[in-house]
Amino acid sequence: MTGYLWAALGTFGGVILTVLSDMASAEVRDRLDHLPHAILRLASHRIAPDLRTTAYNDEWLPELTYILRGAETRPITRLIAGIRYALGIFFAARRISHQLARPLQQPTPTLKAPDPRIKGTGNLKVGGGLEVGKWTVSSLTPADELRKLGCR
Amino acid sequence: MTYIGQVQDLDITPKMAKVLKIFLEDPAQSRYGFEIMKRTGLPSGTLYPMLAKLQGAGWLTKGKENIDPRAEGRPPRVHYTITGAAVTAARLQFAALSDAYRLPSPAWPRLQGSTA
Repeated sequence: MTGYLWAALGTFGGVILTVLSDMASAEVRDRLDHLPHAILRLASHRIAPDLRTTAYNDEWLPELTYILRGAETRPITRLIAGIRYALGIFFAARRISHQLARPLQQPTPTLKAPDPRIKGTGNLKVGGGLEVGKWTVSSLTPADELRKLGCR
Repeated sequence: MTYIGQVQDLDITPKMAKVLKIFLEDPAQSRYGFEIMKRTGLPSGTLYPMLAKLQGAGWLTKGKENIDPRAEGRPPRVHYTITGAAVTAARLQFAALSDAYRLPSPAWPRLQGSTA
């Protein structure tokens, strides 16, 4: 009778231990999943407040979510990839902020304005006296010339 | 500051060349940050400042992934595409770099005992 009791208690204890171990594993997994997010949130505080939406909400967070939710199949590999991603951003946040804060370069076409002191026209000739076109020098000021060509 | 076409001229570093090479494989294809990280082996701390720099110089444009966030269970990611002018500029710079790093051709050995 005592043997049956111990066997029943042992089975019950085993089941309890398995359940507790599963719960602990789920708890640890859940907390570890939050670690890359926490690092990334800290990184977002290292950039200019006006850049947080574009950098953190629109770019870093979706990318991290993608990494943690399926870019890698194994959970530990996924977690390591997520932490590496978040740490990299954390340490580079200032540089990223600096680059993003720079105004977007809008190159304008460079046009050489004619020299208003020289006026006249003539034929463009190459070796042998062959005419290939005409040259004209405008008497307009450089600003007027650019305006005429549609530039600011 | 000089411009090639419609993009700002940039000094291409070896790491930047790795990134640009991926974009040049298929200029019409958009690329994601994590994808570039995996393919180049560059950490996010190196890649993201570089992407921001390339974007600021007009070499890359940003776009958002076209997905249904509810169906996918995640927000849309940002992707980058190389601009047309940057393709030309990058190819020119790659050619110049390749020329600069090309080893000189070995000198022919002098023939010994030859008569003049």
